[in-house]
Amino acid sequence: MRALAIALKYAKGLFIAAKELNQAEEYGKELTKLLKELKSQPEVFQVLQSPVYPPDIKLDILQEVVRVYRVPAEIERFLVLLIERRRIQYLEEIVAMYQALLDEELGIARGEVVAAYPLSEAEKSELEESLKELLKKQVYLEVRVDPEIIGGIKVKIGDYIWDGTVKSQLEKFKEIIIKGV
Amino acid sequence: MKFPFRFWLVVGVFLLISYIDLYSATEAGEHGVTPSQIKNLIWWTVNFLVLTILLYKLLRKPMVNFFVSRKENLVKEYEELLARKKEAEAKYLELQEKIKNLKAEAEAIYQNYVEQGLKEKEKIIEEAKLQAERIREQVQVYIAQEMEKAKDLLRIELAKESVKLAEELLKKNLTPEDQKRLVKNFIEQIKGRSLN
Repeated sequence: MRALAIALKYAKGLFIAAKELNQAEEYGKELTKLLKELKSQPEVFQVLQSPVYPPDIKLDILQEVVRVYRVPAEIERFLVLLIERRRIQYLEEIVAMYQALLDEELGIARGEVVAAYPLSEAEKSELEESLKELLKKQVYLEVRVDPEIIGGIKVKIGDYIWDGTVKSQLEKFKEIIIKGV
Repeated sequence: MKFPFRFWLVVGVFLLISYIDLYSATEAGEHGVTPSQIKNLIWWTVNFLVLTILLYKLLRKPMVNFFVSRKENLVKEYEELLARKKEAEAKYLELQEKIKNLKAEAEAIYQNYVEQGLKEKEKIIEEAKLQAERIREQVQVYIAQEMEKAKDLLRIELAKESVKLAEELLKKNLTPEDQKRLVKNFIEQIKGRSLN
């Protein structure tokens, strides 16, 4: 909970600055890309996140990362600030919060769809379109396959959940039998 | 001063005895009464009279008082004893009466105890009946609850097994076409909601 509060504070700060520079989307993309790259280098990412290493070493590593991945100067300053204030370990949460703020700003809803089999692009697009109509927002879904749901799909966007799985229907059926209705 | 007749009688008897004694003594071997003896007799007589009068004067009152007091004490004691005797007699009568009633009293106490015992017995039996009734009701409630629990457990078990069986059947029998139809249906439902 504390981590989320801290992440929201820094994400908001960066987002406001990015909006003033009219670079909110770009910064979002850069942050997501950087996080992805760092995650692909777990040793580097671990050193940055670990409280054992002093900020000097982390700053040296950051300089190298910035050089290799060509991170914009504003993002670099933000990362330096996180290291100096010993908040770099919340980078993942900060990026997620930033993305949420950006999505809110751009009217984008991101979510997850759970299916029993890998959905085709056409099915995914159709589902995103239908949800866009319902939520009046651009919807982006990530597909996750879970054979345990037996059949149907389950969509989760923010606090909303639409459950059309066979598993949940069977659970409802079970409840009806138990209650004797 | 006036002496009572009894006093003079006692004095006279004493003097008479003294003269008889004197006469007897002369008769026994003496040759007649000598004037000195007569003179002595008169003196003794006078002495005796004076002594008697003095004794009478000095001892009469205390003696009388002593005897009167003694008499009064005796009378008092006698009256007290009489009263105690009466009291004892009354007590005796009372005890006799009590003894007479004792049997009846014992009988009454016995009867009372018997009645109380019978009442207590009835009360205990009544309470035992009520207790038995309560226990019976509780047992019935308990049985009903247990039955309900068993039914619930059976229902839960039945539901679990049914759903498990249904899951297995669906997993086996759902074809890719069925899967696609389910997804299609879901998308249609979402579309239906957005229209509403």
